[in-house]
Amino acid sequence: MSAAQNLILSPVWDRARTGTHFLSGDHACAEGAIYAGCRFFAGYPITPATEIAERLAERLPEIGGQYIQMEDEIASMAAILGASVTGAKSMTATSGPGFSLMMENLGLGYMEEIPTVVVDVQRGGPSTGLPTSVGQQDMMQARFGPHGDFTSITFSPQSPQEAFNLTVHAFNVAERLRTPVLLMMDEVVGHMYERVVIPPAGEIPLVSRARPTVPPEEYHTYRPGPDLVPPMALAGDGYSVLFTGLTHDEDGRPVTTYAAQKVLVPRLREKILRNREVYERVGLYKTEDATTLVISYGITARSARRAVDLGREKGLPIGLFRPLSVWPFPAEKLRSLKNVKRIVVAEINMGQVVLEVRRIAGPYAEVLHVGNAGGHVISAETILEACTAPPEAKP
Amino acid sequence: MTANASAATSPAMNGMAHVGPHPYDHLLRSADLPTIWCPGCGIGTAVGALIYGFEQAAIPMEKRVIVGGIGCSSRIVFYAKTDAYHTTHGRTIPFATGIKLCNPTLNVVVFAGDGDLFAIGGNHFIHAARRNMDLLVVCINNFNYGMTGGQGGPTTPAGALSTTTPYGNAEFPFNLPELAATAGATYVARWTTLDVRRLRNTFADVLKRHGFRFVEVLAPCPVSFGKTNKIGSGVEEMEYYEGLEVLKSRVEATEVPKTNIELGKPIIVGTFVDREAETFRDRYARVIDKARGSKS
Amino acid sequence: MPSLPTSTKRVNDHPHRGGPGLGGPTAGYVVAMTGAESLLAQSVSRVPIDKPVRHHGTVHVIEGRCKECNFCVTFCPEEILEIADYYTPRGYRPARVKAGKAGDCIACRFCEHVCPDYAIYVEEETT
Repeated sequence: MSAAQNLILSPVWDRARTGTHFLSGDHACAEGAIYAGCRFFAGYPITPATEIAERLAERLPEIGGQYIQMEDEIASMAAILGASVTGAKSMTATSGPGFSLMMENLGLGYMEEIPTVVVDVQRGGPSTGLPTSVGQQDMMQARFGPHGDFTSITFSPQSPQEAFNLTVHAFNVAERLRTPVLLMMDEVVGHMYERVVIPPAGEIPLVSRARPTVPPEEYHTYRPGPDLVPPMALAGDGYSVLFTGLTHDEDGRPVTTYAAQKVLVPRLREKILRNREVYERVGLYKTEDATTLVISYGITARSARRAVDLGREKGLPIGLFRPLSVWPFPAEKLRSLKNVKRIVVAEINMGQVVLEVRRIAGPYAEVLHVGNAGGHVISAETILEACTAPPEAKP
Repeated sequence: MTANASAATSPAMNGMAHVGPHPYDHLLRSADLPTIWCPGCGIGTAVGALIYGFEQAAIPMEKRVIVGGIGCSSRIVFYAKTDAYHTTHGRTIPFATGIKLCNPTLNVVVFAGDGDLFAIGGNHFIHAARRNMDLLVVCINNFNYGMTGGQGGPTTPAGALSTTTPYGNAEFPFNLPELAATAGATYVARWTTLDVRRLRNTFADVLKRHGFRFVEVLAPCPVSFGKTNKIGSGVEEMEYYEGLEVLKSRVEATEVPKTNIELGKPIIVGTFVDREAETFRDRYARVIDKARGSKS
Repeated sequence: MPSLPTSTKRVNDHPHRGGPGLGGPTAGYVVAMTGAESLLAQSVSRVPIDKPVRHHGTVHVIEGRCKECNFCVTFCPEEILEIADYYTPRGYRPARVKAGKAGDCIACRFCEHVCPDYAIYVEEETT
């Protein structure tokens, strides 16, 4: 019998390449997936995410996993959902155009509460845009891409090491909260090579989804636990589960009424919002006494840190607030920084996350945006300039 | 919803014995019957045939997985008591691919309609066939988009009427067995819901086999297609098929292109392709062996 | 309850390869048996010609599910079914056995197989 028998679900995760490596962000993301227990990848080549697929095409069969190149991104998103209902940890990776294609099935993942990880290595957009140049222009799409009301959990790494760490974290969050999770990289982080330390197996605890604790007769497919997360019966467990994207009751039966909607859709949101401690991660740099705050993520955050250092050298009380979890935006953490009078949001787009920051902090702080139309990393000097610019004249 | 709700309105039993559970009640989500399908619709017949196939092929209950898309046919998931996944329109096959590849011990059936599988889902169909993905794909072909009110689709016969072809369909339809055979399916058959015994036996057979297996089931759609094209009620549509169908015990490969469906012309039913070939997973198993061998 | 053959072999235990293809659909239950088992079954079910086996069935209609589609009524080979003259709460007139025809059912089960609503089934008795 071939060695490939049913290895997908067996814990062969000591194949993670423990040690110190020199990896690109894309490759580090792939290794993070493997470390987290991912055994199924379905994807489609697209710059600058292709290297994730290539790495997994090589690594997954080594550990008895499954790499499959689907015919398009729509199929890729559908396939990783199907994989996940059997219990497998699954992932796909793409960039802007593919991300757009995945939206409908991403919504299906939210609605049917299927854990999975979707990586978008952002490039200049819109449309075909700048395939080989950086952008951070899909952030609002990560928040609001699929149709309908839902709440997204989205991470953004600033380095290959963080791409590794946040990929592992993304899988854990997806399993814990039974939801798709988005990892929004950018082309620079994806393609840059840096030192990445992969810890020994077991050092980062791994999470698998909660399973039913009662027999099929007593089980309800979508009855949530106290944390608002329903335990998940897998295909083949004998529970005859019914999953549908239609509005449904606790047994998965389609009930397309206002009453059912009122129960289901807010719970899906609260499931995310009430479990912040599971996913929220913020990096604070020199913020204790800061009156000016730079908010940035991804590659731009590295320029922002330099801007903070440059400002501090001049004696300016500047700090960096770096959301590693961008959505839901860590509003409470931001508001807890009481001295802040000015916020500069630096991102490689024409204003996306700044809209949320303005909503949160606008009432008490001046919120400025530093960005561009895509294709160029923002320099530390540009960010510092915005920090020190005179206040806008009020009418 | 329970049986025998008519006791209050019907006169005393007409010599009928006590009504017990239907033999399939434990294999259906019986509390949700009757189905939403129209009177005279053939989908329920095909679902019953599939259930028979699962039983006859002795597939354990927990190994049965049905994946439906969007449309009347896909609503099998709400009635057949198996692990059942209702996905997005046209994306049944890639979803089912993920299930089958990650747990090859499951018996995965895709059950959807002609629009779901061959319009929006057409690309996924041909690639899964090309890969010889180990799936049974059942297409309920009622020649239109029933759920949304009877629009034309990729299998609507040329000249036929529908709500979006009110002057007659200007397009030619796919010949599904030809498409499946060309794309690489290793088993292809077509039946009508009138051929229910043959359909049942086909399912009993193919559920035990491997590879990309495709069964087209022509079903009446009296409320949309049948009424619009003046074919009549469900029974009249069945009799229409009865009059037109020609059973061939084996259709030669060269004959397959001639099995297309035209209004009023004979409809060939039977087994069109029947062969064995390595599945995608068979070949990928060798990839895994090679990858593990070369790195150890 | 209809009886299903218990001699069916589990040929799908191997995740990649099932048993050999059984060469297309055949009627009845023989499809599930090997050649040897099949011969044995046939010899056991063979009966003397001077004592013919008659199949007889009792038709049951689950009226609440019937949608008056007329499939069973139209295709019953013995024409023992008709549409009733009363309505179920769902607004359909259900199928029923014609008066005096209950004894004519030959348990072919076509009604049971073709009904799209699982509203009719046959309990078989053999004499």
